Amino acid sequence: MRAVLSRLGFYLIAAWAALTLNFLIPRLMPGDPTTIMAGRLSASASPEAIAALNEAFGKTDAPLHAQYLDYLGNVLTGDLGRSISQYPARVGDVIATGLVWTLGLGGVALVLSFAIGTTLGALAAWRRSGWLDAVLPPVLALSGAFPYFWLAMLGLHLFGFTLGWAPLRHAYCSHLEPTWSLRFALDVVQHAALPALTIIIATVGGWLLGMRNAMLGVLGTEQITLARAKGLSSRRILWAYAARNAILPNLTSFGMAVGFVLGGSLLTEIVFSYPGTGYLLIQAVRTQDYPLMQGLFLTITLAVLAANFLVDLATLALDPRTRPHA
Amino acid sequence: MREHDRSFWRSLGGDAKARVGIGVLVAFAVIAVIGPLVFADAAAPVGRPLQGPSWDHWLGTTGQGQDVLALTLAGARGTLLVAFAVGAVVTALGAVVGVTAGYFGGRVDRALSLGSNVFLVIPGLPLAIVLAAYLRPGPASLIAVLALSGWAWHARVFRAQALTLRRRDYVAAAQVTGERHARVIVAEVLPNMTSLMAAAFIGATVYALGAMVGLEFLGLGDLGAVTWGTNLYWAANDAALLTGSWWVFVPTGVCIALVGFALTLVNVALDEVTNPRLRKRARGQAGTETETETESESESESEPVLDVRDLRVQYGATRAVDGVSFALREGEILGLAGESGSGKSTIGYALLRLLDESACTVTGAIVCGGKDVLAMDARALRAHRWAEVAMVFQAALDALNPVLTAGDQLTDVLRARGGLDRAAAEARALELLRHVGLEPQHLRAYPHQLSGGMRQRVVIAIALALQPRVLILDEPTTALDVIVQREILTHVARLRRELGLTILFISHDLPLLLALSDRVGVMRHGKLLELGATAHLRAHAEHPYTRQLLAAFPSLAPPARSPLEPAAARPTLLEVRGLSKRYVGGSRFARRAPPALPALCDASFDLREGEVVALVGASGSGKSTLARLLTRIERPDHGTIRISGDDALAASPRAHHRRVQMVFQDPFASLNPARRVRHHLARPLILHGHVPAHALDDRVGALLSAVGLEPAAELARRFPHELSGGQRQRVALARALAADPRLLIADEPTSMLDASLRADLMALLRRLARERGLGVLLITHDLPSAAAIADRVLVLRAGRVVEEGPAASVLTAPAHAYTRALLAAASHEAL
Repeated sequence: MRAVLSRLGFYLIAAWAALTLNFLIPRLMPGDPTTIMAGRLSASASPEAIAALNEAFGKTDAPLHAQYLDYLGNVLTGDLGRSISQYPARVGDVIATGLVWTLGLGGVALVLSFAIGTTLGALAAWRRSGWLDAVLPPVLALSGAFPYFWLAMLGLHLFGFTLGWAPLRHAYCSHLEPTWSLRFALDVVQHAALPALTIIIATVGGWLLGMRNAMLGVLGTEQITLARAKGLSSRRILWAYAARNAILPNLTSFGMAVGFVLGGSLLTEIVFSYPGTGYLLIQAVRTQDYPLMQGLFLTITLAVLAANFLVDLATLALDPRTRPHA
Repeated sequence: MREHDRSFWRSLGGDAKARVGIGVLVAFAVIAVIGPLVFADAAAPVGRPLQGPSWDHWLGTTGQGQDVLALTLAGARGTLLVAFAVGAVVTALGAVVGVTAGYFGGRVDRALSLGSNVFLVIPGLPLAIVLAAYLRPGPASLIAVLALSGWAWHARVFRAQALTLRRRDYVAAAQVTGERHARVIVAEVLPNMTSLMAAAFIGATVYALGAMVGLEFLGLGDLGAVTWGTNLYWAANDAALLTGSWWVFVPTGVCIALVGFALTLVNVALDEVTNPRLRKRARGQAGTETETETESESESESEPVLDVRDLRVQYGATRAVDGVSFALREGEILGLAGESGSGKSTIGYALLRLLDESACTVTGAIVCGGKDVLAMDARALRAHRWAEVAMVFQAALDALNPVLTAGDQLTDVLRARGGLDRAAAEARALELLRHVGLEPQHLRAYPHQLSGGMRQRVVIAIALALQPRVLILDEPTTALDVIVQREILTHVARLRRELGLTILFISHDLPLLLALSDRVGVMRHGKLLELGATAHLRAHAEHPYTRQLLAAFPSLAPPARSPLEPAAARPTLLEVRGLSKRYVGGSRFARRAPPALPALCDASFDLREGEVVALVGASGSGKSTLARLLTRIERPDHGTIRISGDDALAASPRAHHRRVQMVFQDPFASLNPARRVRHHLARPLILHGHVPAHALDDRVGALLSAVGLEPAAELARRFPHELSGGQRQRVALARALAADPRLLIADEPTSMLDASLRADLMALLRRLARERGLGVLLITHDLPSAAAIADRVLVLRAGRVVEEGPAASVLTAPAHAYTRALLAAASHEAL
């Protein structure tokens, strides 16, 4: 319990750091972006938009620390200001529409990729110099070297445009109403398949190599020799002795990679016009919708922190050495 | 972790992956240099938009009518420059933060680690997108943004490495030499991180390449520039996909992937060079020697339980085991002695067929119960293992699975092999634990919650699970404290009597084997030189090597020699009064450690000039703490240290280290593998002797000669790994003498050396004390070696001095019970 609390404490500090970073970025950037933006907008900007801008940045004449406290108070009550491009929609509401899709697509792809890569990595190391170990690492290292979004473009070109197997854009067909029906669910899966596949292809190699190397390390230790000498079945040695230990370092990097993969899947969303946070983020960047952009950054960061916390809990559960008790 | 610099780069150059990777990178470097020169106007329209590949435009044209080939080749420079620049900045930033945190530890570490861990969990790409959106697009802002979002991971890696290196003895040795921290980091720590830096640089460059292309694809780069990322941005913007113009984006993506893949190849090759386990197979060591007669035991009183005939194990060209034959008789203890690399452990593994058979060839026969183990199929082998022959491995911590409880590791073999159900297996496991002297609650304990001795007992319990006929014990107590060692051995002797076990006991400790075994075999270079009944071997060893080994172990009686002449006339050199030290806390995960036992408690003693004082105690008794306090690597909580009457704790560190020097336990750890012998000796000469540069070589040579290393000039140019263990320890001694100290602290200086070299080094220490009037504090757990050279002996237990007196009287008439226990453990009597 103490370990859980100490991890929770760390993530609270990290969340506070992210909040502060989010507060400081627009204020510390060279040439005061609010003024620049107001200048850019002046021709077309309605007074409401300027007001939204000021509200979003909490830009008042108050001293910095007062602005900071205001900002923290607003964020904690869920108030992220108003979007400029979709004025007067609230930033929180805009993000909420995208977050579901990102968590669905990115989360499922990430977990699948980790599960597939880790399992294959364990098997590749177990059957050293088998075909799995000869073929998979180089092939996947090559496929992992392509940018995510480029793989997405290629996939869209081949399976979408040329072969016509996959839908071209969006998360579901526009003529369907989002309801809890089987038809709609199938449509969503159909739309998500190709984006998810490109994310998996781009990331599975990393998990495979990491697990394979960790496995080779564990397989060389005396605990495996002892397990073999005891005459245990290969299955028990592979999973309960080797993989069970080798997965621990991989799990730690899983936490670290959540942010990286999520960032990469943002780019995939853009290629597929998938209505998630990545698509929103790039719309915000292109329309210079700074409040929305900052809100998205904060939301994505907090989602990654939450995922990392879950991974830490899993590590605590799987590794008795991290549990402080006698 | 890499130890040797040049061999490392050489093996990297010899690796096919590395060669392919480096070749691709060089090709792209050439393109990056000449591409923009040849295609100066790559961005200018030259034809009709979105035309497929043709003779005029090999890779077709873009939506704006630009030539795709020209854009791709011209884009290499801008892309690679930013990627490699980010790689360099991130590596430097990570190294500075990580090494600072790891080296200094404590509060500095906590603050820096917290900072980098926070940065690590904040997703990099979204942060980079937000930052880039505010900055004016261009290469400089890309580098800044990507470096800021990517440094944290590498700081973490560097910190971990610095934490391990910080604990290396050569870092402590440099501190004791009197070096400043900055110089220790630059001259001792960083040279051992070159491979890590290379890996960090490559990893960061791969990350930067991907992230940069991503940012530019989003339109956050300089859209007027020609780079791979902007090429892809325009491809998406000009509806290349909608029109099916695959040639616009495919070439750029392939180039990015080729560079990324080449970098990954180099990184994998680097990994394999630095981590030998990842390579296809490990090579066994042990050399070959001229043929020697193996004494075969012809008289067999009873049917052997296990009969080994002409066993040979060959790894490539080296013979780890070379024609060994012996028979194990029912109920006996057969000792197998030999120094490391003699092949004795390989025999133990061969008896269970645990050797990696794809890496070595095993010939001969191992007959057990009428069947040849080497000829068994997988099924028969599984039945043979553990039921007929079981084994206790050397390092219990490595042999136990850290994520399973002791009970799990006992019951799994009972259930899988003994055919018991869960309840029966648990009951039997409890019985086994009781058998080896453990409590029922230890069934639920994880290995890290048990002490070293308890873990070894668990391993023994596991070995006994299926009631094997033969038990192989492979150095079962080497990693343990002498007192615990004795408890375990007494237990083994009892188990053998109670269970009628037949035991093959493998150890480098010949006196131990002589005390414990019925018969003893001596191995060297893969051959069994001699095998005979213990009493016979002790009195009439035939092989010269056996006689040499027997002679190398000093007896416990102090040799007759002149005492330190007018003892009272010699001035007191070291005066320690009431010295105490208590450690608090520990690492974040080490809360199971009991709350701060004092490591040293109220220690007081004197040491005179020219006197050798032995400080004896089991591990954990506070010996090493005392050494760290005397060398001022740490400060005491209470007490005073006076040297020639001056307060040593008030002196400047450098003045203190001029008078007090130290020789560390492990000469393989206390010399920096990345620096030559000359470096190790020259630094203290410069710091303390102010020797000018032109005289350095002469002084280094003189020092090497003084410790018996010739030819001095040639040895000074060598790296530590080019020296033998004995030579290394002499270099370490020469380094300590370079400052011309008054007091020399020697921490187990011979424990890592082969028995035959110990006596020489001890004699050298004693001679130096006599000739130079040097005070020597010899720290050891080994009473016999203390007896060999010490004038006086101090016995330390749990941080307290429990006995003090002249060597002869402490050894022959110990007053304290603990001293008697130590003596008994060292003599192996009554096992």
